[in-house]
Amino acid sequence: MQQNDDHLYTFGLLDEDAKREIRRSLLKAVAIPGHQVPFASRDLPIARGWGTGGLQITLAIITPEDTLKVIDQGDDAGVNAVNLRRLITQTTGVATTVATSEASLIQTRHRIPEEPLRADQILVLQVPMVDPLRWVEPNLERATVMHGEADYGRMWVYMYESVVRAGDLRIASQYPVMVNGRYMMDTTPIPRWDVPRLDMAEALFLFGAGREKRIYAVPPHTSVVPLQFEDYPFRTEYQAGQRCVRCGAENTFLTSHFVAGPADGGQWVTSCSDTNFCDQRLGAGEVQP
Amino acid sequence: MGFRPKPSFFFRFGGEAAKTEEKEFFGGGFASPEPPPREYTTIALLTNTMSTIAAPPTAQAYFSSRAFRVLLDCLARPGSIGTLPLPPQDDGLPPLAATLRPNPYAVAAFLSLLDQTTSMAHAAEGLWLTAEHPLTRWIMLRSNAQIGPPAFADYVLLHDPASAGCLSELKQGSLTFPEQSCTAFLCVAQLDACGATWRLEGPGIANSGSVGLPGLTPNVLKGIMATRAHFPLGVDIFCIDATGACLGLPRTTRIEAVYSR
Amino acid sequence: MGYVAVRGGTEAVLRAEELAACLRLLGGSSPLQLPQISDQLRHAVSRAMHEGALYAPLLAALAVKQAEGDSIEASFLLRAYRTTLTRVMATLPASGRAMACMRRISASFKDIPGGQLLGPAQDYQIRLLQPLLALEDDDALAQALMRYAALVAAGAPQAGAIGHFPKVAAYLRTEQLLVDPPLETEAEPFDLTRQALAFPCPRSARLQALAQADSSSLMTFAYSSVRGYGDAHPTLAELRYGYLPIQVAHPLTGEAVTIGEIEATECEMVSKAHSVSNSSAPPRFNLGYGFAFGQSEVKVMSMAILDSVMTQARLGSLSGASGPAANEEFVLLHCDGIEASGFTAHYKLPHYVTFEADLRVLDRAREHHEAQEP
Repeated sequence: MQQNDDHLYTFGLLDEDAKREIRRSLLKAVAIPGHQVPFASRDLPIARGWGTGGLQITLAIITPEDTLKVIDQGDDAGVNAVNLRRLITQTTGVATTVATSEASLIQTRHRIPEEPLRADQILVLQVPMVDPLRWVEPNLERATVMHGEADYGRMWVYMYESVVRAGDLRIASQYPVMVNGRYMMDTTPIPRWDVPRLDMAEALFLFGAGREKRIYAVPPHTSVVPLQFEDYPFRTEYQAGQRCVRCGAENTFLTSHFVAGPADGGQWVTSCSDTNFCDQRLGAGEVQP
Repeated sequence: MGFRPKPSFFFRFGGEAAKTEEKEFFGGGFASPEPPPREYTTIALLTNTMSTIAAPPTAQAYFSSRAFRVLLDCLARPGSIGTLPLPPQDDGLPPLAATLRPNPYAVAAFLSLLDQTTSMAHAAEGLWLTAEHPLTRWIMLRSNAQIGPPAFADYVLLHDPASAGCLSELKQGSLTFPEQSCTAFLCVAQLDACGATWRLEGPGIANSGSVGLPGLTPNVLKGIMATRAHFPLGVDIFCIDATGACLGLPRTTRIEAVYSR
Repeated sequence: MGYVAVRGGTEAVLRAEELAACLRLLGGSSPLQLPQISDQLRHAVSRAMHEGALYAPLLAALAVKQAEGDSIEASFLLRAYRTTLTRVMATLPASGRAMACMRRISASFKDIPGGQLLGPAQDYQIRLLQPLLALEDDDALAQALMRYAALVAAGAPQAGAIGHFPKVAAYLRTEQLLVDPPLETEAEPFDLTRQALAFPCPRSARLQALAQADSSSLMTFAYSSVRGYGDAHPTLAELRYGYLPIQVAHPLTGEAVTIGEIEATECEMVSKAHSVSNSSAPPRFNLGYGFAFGQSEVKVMSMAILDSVMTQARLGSLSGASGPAANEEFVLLHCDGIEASGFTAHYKLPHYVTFEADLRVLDRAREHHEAQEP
């Protein structure tokens, strides 16, 4: 346990005991796709709810050879992405990138990059709420039993009521899915657009909830099926004719902004939420976060 | 008293170059700033530092992180063969028996997951090894892990295929806590990515995969199958060969023996 | 289209930090020294320590300074620091009996063995602002110190007899008035920092969670239980505040060695038990326990009330409506100030993606609504 006296902290900030505990939980999470594995969740110098679960996973698995990308809302320059990247690089010294294709490890909040991920890439998702059952059963003890017995009837009733009241499955983000036909899983607040991209993917998805102290995973080539009814199938946010105002992409997840005009009050425009994808289409080259 | 903050004061950091950016960031329109008082500049520099504040990993920590990535990848992609890194030190692994030496890759990977909160057991030639065995002491000394009854062990190391029968004794977790199950490391002679002793299906495998385990006796598959009859309960297994090649077999992997004609 | 999304987060984050740091200094007042904080803002320091779950008065003073007095932020700084510390060893179980008390009161009996010791109490202070405090200077301080020294000299007790008292709860136990504490099957107490809380949880986990909880949250939960949404009828058996010696087992000999003392507050509350689950046992009082670093009386009383309410709820011995404070999972999962503030504040983070998704769902709901209109 010798340590360089010049440095206050160890590589990856967490001590080896904490990393080992997270690694053990990760192995079990991968072995039981979609099942929430409890872990101790250490206190970090980042506030609870601000990505401490994803951060602990990243710090527990990162090696000096990794190339890291951190995004928030699809944006490398988002304020929290910047802050988490700063902490990770300060405590590991690993190389960072904004190019999705160059990254071996990507930490994200609320988005999966548009560019399809490869088998040699790991996506770490920051999770605020871990359990879709919380909508119907806030009690942790009872919800754990429901998962154990695959007792998801009440969730289906909830979905049905949503259809009756709103005419559609009115869940916007953190859409519930069945993983490997067994566990109901929260998709973190990724938009519905990203949900199908969890299914039978090439990359490994790791989910970390620091405040809720749970880790779960979706291995590659694993079935991830959104909850839906035959007459009310799952739909993404895609709208025919949608288009990014910057790069012209017609097949990405877009966010809207109001642009004030000189006289007529302005207008709503939409642009890619994945900024690197958008920049690359524009051929803008590297854009510093 | 008497010192009232003026809006222009906020833009005193960062020297000339930063001024325009700051103005832009705040929408511009504030008075041109004066040079900052010295002590405030120092504080700004301290919080601005982006240099590394952590030591490089120790040899052991570095090994553990790399070994873990191999284990994680193997478990996420059953059928793909990973290569475990060389253990950082091999300071005289005690032999198991006169003819059987422990697999240093398997021992090191096993060790990388253990600490004082975990319990372990290990077996060779189909028999559990005691707390007094030199290799048990070697592992306990380096990990602080407790040796316990195999039925309660969190991590188990089986030094040879002849010990695969021991798999049936291991804990498989409960319906509410399926993660409270054993993880087993099974040493085999050779793993062949191009071979076809077993056909594999399940999460992590595109369509189906296969793996070769030359010279393997049928009892091994029997032992493994005994650990995965009641998903989500089950034991997760790593097979590791003498060259450090590693195969992950999570409880979700369905295995079928391929019989050559 | 000349539209460009707002970018440049790195620069913004760094500048924001600088601005926040400079606001503290702008007034030009002389910098706070840590002893000033630890001496003169005792309660702020205590709170940072018990909510940060680290006994370190000077570091707590630094945290209070760095957090500019924000109690949750100060405890967060201490907790984030604690997590980087190596665990050398665990202390031996400490009993409140060993405390050198500065203060020790009971509300259950007028006269208790050892007597009531009011000690440093602000309870009976008339809450009038004291203008003289605003004008306090070094001379005033020196005079006050001399006056206190004279008073202490005049009333000094015999050496060695300072502040050691028997426990009121011990008498209640002797009289068989108290329910035995629930048996813990675990040899070692639960450790929240090493294990995720799962329910039902052992009492040691409950006490640890309550001990590092946000004081205001505990007070709210406990208050709800005694005001009307619950069945708690607590009586203060004993509250003591003073110096508690801390011991470890000598690594070689195993003998108990005192390594220092901490300032702490301890509380025991008895609650009337209307019935007991085991009908063959005679009815007894229930005991709730509270403990915190420093002088933190409302916190330990709230903790003791909640401990008692949860124990009774677990035993099924509550009568009447139990109230939200009797729901152990509800209280323990929501009482941590650092977690609660972190998650509440996280809504400041960008939610452009999720809000966009919400907008799309709202669009569809509107279409549905319009289609339903006749």
